[in-house]
Amino acid sequence: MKRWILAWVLAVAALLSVGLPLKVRLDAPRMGSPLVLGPNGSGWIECRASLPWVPGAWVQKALKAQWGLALNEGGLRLLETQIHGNRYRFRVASTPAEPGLHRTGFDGIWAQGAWPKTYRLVQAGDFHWPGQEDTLVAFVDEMLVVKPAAILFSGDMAYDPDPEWFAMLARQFRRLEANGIPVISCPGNHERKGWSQYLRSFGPHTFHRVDLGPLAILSLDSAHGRDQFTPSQFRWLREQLDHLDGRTPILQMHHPTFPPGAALAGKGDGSGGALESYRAAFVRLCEERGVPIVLSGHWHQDVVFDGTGRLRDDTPDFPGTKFVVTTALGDITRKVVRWNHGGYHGYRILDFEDGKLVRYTHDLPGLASPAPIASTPLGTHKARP
Amino acid sequence: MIALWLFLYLAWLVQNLSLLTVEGRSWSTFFLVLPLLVLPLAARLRARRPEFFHGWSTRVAGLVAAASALFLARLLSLDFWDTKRTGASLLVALLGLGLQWVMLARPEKTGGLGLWLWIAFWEYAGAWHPALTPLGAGLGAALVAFDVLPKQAVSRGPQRSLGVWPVFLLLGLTLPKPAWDFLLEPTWAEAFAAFAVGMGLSQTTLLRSLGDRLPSFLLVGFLALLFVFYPSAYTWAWALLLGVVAGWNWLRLSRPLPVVQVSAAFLLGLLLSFLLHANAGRPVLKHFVWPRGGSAAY
Repeated sequence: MKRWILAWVLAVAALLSVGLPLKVRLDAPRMGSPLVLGPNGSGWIECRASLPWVPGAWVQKALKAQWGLALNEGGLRLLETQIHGNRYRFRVASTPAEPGLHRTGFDGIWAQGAWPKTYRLVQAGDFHWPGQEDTLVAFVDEMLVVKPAAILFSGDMAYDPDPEWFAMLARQFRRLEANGIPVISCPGNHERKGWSQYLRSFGPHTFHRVDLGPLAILSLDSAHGRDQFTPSQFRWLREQLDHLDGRTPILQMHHPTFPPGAALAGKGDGSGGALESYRAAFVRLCEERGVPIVLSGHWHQDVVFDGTGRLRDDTPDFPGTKFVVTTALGDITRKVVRWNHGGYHGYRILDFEDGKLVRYTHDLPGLASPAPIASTPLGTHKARP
Repeated sequence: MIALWLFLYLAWLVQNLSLLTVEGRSWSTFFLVLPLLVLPLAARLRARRPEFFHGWSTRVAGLVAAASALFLARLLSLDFWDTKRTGASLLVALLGLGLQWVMLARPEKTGGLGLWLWIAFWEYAGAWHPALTPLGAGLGAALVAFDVLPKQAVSRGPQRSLGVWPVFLLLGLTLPKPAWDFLLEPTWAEAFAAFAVGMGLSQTTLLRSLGDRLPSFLLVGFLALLFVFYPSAYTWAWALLLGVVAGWNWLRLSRPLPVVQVSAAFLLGLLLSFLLHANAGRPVLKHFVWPRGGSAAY
């Protein structure tokens, strides 16, 4: 028995030698997963400490020192603290804000006032390769004209695992946020190449929920094309859809839900990977819970499927969930399905009215209005010089 | 001692490398697999020249394992392991080499509930940060090398003996399921801790006598069954049961355990498990990997 006591004393000493001096890692909110505090609502700030079960006040102090986040300053009010091992959760609220969205004193935390009747989101993904950073800069310039309520980036933002790339992303995302546009993102397959760097920049919650006005934006992690939707992530999704509090759910993930199927064009330009695990259950869940749209990328082409997996190149308006794929923002474009009006870089504008999706396609010249499938070509909304 | 190697080192290594990805052609990767490549040679050396493994060399190996694990845990504390970093990989290699030297020198010196609680604690510590799990292996190696941990002979169960290949292959296939399921969420660490508690409980008088009554084929069959029936919402209970079943199998293995064969079978199981779960869309197989595709119980 004495021998085991000595062993456990050494174990505690080893833990202390690893965990001291106390450090914290902010896990949420992070880049791509902001916290939006509604007029009467609250939200959770989550972090991990290098030692378990230390007093919450010590962790708050470390948060302020290491991350610049003070929980009772900059319009924030601390309501509650939860401690589970070395995981600390702080429930905060913000002072009532003016109408619309406003940044608080801390990056990634927003105060939301009265929400407008009409507003828009933008979705994009599959960024450029290194050396073509101007594409992202031009896109950000264009968004300052489009002025969406938020931008959803659906993965493949990083074709380069170097820290410099992630610093570049952070700079451009901050430009958007400085102009009142929060960024909400999910990882794609290419992020896996520099996974540790991605996690350092975006935090460890690879799937998350952001409540924005009357919308609940659920970002999912469809992994690297194979091990998609594990049981625990699927269960999380179902729990979120069961607790929407009257919000309209908008889903984004990197991989398209359906494979090209009968709509495949030739060999699909070597692309066409789709959700594998849990596809049928996922589609059923979306239809049952009234999800209006599931946004994805990966194919570098605009595509829209209905709940049966049929390509809807006839009309943008059909009953049930719209399973949408959006062309690449900067990477090469492809032709995976038979839709002939693509071949451009772009992004998708989603128009909402009172929480209802009213439009998600762009009218291209030569197509009937409203056009099916098409996204908005990059450069459509020119930035002011 | 072999339990520290298998559950706090090998399983941890495979899980982390599969989660954080590893590049094929780099020095870093070479360091990471070095202990695995060296193991057969070290085992042969142990068989031919056992005197090398007595006295100071084992203590040095234990100290190297503990120090490497400590530096590794400090280096990675709260960070995400960049597997391309040579420094961290070198520490992992030193930990593995030191640990396997002690394991070969003192193969089954320590056992019983105490050891399994030690393993359970460090598995659980993986929920605080994954780099803490191998700290338990390194520290355990030093404690064994310096004869700090109490010696306990692990007696064989009933006469029937099981082969190490089916048991450890199946264990390698089944055990990491929570890790593939929860990925970055640390729930897997709690499940692994429950597994180790189950292993310990299986050696208590009551459960041991229960296990002794079961035929060997049923024990191995239970392991396979737990691969297919994995209730994600009740992971810890599943892991506890897996631990008890694995513990019953463990007691049926002939002693001394052949370290190289056990490691090879377990490693092969872990790798196969990763490949299967990483290809969950494969026809037929997917029904055995994540069964019932999102229906109510999951």
